Amino acid sequence: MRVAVTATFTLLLTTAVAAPAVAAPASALDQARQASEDTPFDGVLDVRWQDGGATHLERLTVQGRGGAMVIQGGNQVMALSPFERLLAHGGQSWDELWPSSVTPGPRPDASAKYQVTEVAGGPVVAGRTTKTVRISQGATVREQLYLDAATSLMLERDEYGEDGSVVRAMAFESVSLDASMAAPAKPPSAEHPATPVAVRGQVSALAPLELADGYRRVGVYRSGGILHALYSDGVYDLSVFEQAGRLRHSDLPGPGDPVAVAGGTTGWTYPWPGGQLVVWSTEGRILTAVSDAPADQLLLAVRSLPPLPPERPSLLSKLKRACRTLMEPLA
Amino acid sequence: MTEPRRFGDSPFGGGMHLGDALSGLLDGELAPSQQDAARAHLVGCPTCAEELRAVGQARDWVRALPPVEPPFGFYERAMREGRRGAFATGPSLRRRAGLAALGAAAAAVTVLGVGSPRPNPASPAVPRLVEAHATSASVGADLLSKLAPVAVPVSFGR
Repeated sequence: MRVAVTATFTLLLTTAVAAPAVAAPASALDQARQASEDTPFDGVLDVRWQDGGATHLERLTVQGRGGAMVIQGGNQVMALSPFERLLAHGGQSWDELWPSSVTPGPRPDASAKYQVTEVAGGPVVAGRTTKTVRISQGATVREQLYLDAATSLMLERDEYGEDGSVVRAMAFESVSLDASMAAPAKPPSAEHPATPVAVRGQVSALAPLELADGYRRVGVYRSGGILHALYSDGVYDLSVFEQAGRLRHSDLPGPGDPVAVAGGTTGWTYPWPGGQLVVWSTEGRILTAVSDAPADQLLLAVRSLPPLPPERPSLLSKLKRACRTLMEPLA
Repeated sequence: MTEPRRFGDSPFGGGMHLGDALSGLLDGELAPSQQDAARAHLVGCPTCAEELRAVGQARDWVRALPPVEPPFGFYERAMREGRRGAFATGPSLRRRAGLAALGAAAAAVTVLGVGSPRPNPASPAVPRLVEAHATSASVGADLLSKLAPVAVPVSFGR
């Protein structure tokens, strides 16, 4: 169910930062990650995100058992092994989006970029006592996590914008920690529409080892004709997808906001439920950068991508393009 | 090495090589006797054999071109121009033939790489890319917060 909430989402950070902060154990984020795999739970999770002046709310049901997790909304997504991911659009059949055989490299240490501190006390979320973990970058607070005081399961995660208001949040509306229910079962069959394969050796110039703001490459994959470079800074992840072609305005996914990207090129940015994305085109390539990072970090990173060398198409592709070029003026 | 057979006495006329007959051979437009003569010539003539291969490749390339829908209004414009006498004979036809030759020359220049034709348009499947990002990011990271947004169908208001 999707509910469009027209009121602006204004949970100001200043209301939450009065309590004294102490250095959290270095593994606070690791504890939360581990708890989401180890703690058996069932719950209803609200996901909120801003899109222009409106805030959207999607209510999901979540079930976690023994490292497996099923999340049900408009889509249904399933994590089975530590690596395998399945997705069913609507009520359709399952697609394998990520195979168990492909594993990204280790993520960089978040402490090189962020300060992770535990704030004394925390609100009650879904009827459970929490502890608060704050993630800051210099003087800017990026996120606050509210972890279950008993298990470290993440019960709420709030991401802040540049003005200190919450721009994205997910919070349990209700949760039950109950180990007696059965673990999610693997579907009897799944399609393999575009399973990614790891790319080794030399890759595209648009997949450098590092991007600005501390993003390091943790994997490069190919799926169909699309190259996918995955980056991480230890907290957020950023994907750069590269495919051949030229972007026409009519091919954009919707009426986005124009932004300057690498080399003075104009890109178009869009919010999605988990973050922000940018689409642009250069030198016969279409690039799409998708991230759960704050918008300013995403733009910094994509602006640091190196320029592409001029395209050198084959004679056959030149012939094909020439025919199209001759036809287009007639349109 | 066998000397190529002369074609001076062949059914194709007085040339040293097959020339335009290659295209006829590929398209099956030669008479049986001409086909036999052409094939016999190809056995001993590497120049014609190479030209046959090149002509065949060019034909394959053209056949591999995707079908192109005429632009919106193309037929209407053509019919309108036709009624105005655009397809009349005489000086107008010669002028149009000249323009066609000029266009063909421009296309050839473009194809040969002097120009830089624009790449083919493509439409990125953004919702699928978002799903690919979120699922890859969830591997080895916090499952719940990375994966939950994938359960929300992505749309961008178009």
